[in-house]
Amino acid sequence: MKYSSKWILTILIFWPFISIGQNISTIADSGEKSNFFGYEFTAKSSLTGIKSYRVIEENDSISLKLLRVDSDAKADAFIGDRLAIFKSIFEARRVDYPGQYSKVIECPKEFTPEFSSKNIDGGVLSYFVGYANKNKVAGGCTSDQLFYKQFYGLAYCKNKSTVYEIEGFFDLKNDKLTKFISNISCID
Amino acid sequence: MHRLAYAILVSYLLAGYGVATSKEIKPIDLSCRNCNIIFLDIDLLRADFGSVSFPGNKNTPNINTFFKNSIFFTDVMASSGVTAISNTSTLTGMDGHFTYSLLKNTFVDKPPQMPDRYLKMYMTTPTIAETLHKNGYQTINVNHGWYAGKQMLLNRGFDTYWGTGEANSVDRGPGSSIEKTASFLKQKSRDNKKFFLLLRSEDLRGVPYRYPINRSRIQDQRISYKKVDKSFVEVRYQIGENGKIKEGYSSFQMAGWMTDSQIAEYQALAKEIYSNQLSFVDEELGKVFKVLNESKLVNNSIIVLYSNHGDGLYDNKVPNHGVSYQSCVSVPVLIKHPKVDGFIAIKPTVALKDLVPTIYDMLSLSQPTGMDGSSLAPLINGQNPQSEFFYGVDKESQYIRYKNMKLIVWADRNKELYDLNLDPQEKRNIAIENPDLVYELDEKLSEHDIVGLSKAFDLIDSFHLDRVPHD
Repeated sequence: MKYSSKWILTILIFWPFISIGQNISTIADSGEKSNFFGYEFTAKSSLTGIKSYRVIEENDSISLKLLRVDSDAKADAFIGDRLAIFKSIFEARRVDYPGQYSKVIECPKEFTPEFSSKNIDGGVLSYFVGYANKNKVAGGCTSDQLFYKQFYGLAYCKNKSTVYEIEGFFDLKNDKLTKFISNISCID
Repeated sequence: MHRLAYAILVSYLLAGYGVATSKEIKPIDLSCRNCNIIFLDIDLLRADFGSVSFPGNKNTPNINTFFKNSIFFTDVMASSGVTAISNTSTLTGMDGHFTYSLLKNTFVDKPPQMPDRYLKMYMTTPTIAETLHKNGYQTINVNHGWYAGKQMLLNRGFDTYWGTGEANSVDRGPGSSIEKTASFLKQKSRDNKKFFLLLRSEDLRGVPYRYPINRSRIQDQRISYKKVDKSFVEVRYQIGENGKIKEGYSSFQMAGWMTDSQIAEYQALAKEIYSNQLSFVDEELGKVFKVLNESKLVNNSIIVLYSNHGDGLYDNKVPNHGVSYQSCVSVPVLIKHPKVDGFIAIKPTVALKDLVPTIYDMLSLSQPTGMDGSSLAPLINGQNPQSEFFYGVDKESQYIRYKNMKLIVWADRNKELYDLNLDPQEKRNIAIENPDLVYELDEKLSEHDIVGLSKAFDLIDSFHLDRVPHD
């Protein structure tokens, strides 16, 4: 016990200098609520100052980024690049896709993320639907690992000069993803 | 015991803060007009490996001795874990995402090269060679490897170009680029014309390692030595799933199939072979340092040792390199400056793209317009760091770093968050516990990505050039 005061004093002196993981999470709700695609998103004030939205509803969580672009070509290139590298993961010319955490050598086709593209009001939505585990790690390749459907979608809304980048995890038990996808549009 | 523990703790803390930081040193006049500039880019040299963790690494006595009195940046982030992006970004001082978009839309894969029609456009993002050439420097490039040098149009601005291990070049054996560098320096020591020399050596590249035949080898049955000619052997050790030695993993492949014990085994083996190869590279560099010392070039030259990316060595199951883990993007930078006669460790995080602007600052040259990097000279003299965010990108992943927190976003949108203070080797992904921070950093990264792409498109379009289509 007689050393405890020394320890406390030492820790107090050096506390400001001891780095134990700086808390830099500065995100805060701005209070602004916006309805997108059937969900009420909360706008976050962030490091970047751009508008960004996120919603957590029961086990579903969705983030929406609104990225400004000043030409169709740039929007197409941005979306094309994101889709291409996502798609490339499953191409045969690469190493087999084992998923991020499964022990299988190759992801069975039924669990490989599926790509789709569809016209929406005011633009085109391109997206992948795959699977994720309880920790929201995408790439589950065996049925016992699956807890969420993973959604990753990109849409260019020309009328707003904006790319929507949408990511979500939807509880497999009460699949609301299909309805969510059908609600996505460029029209407020 | 308590007394001892207390004493150790206090000593440790005091010693830790006794190490020179940028805020503790006296201001140094870093201006060095008309100094020669020598860049020694040792491809794949990891920041945490050996020599750069001064002092006393046994693998690199020559580097240790030569850079004993130098400016040592302890935490440098490369723009990419692959050469094409990082090297171009470093030599131009341009951002990695911009560079990636520019390369992606102008580079052709077969054969891998940058078509000449883009040369004029690329000259608007001048390399250090072009800038120094315009300022009266003689410029010499010793290039080893495909994704640098003339294939990337990075031979621009050089009066003299010597290449090996690249398209249509003669294969000159291990260490040849470093020996050639020593030879050029000997020549330069005989005239008084200021010069810039860039060496890029791939002698640490292990796909496969190329190793002198007469040098002592590691005896291990897991290692294959294949005699190539009378002077050197090729060294292979990486195995595929069938247990047989393979040529090597490509730059982005992971050994995901390996068990933890296999990873541990091959990590140890990889680091042993790497250390041995590094010893050889250090011996070769010793020849360069000898010329620099004996010719007195060291007295009027700024000499920089760095690497444009690191090497996985099975950390995070990455056998080679090419992704956003620290093993691949954390790189060493050592600057030996004629006016610096002590060892200065700079601890704040910096970007490798800041290196070239730093040199311009030291030479009192105006910075080319549009550069993304900024001079580190104020930081060396105790001012606060200018950058808060650091970015990198490759074909498989992107990263954003803010202070000690680093987010990696993979092509399939998986995200990994690491606290580099607590977990420098990125072993514990804390993304799930920090969703807001992940979201925020990811948003910033997307924004940065689109800004880089936008800037690249504007540049290509302004020259009315086509963009190379990719699948």
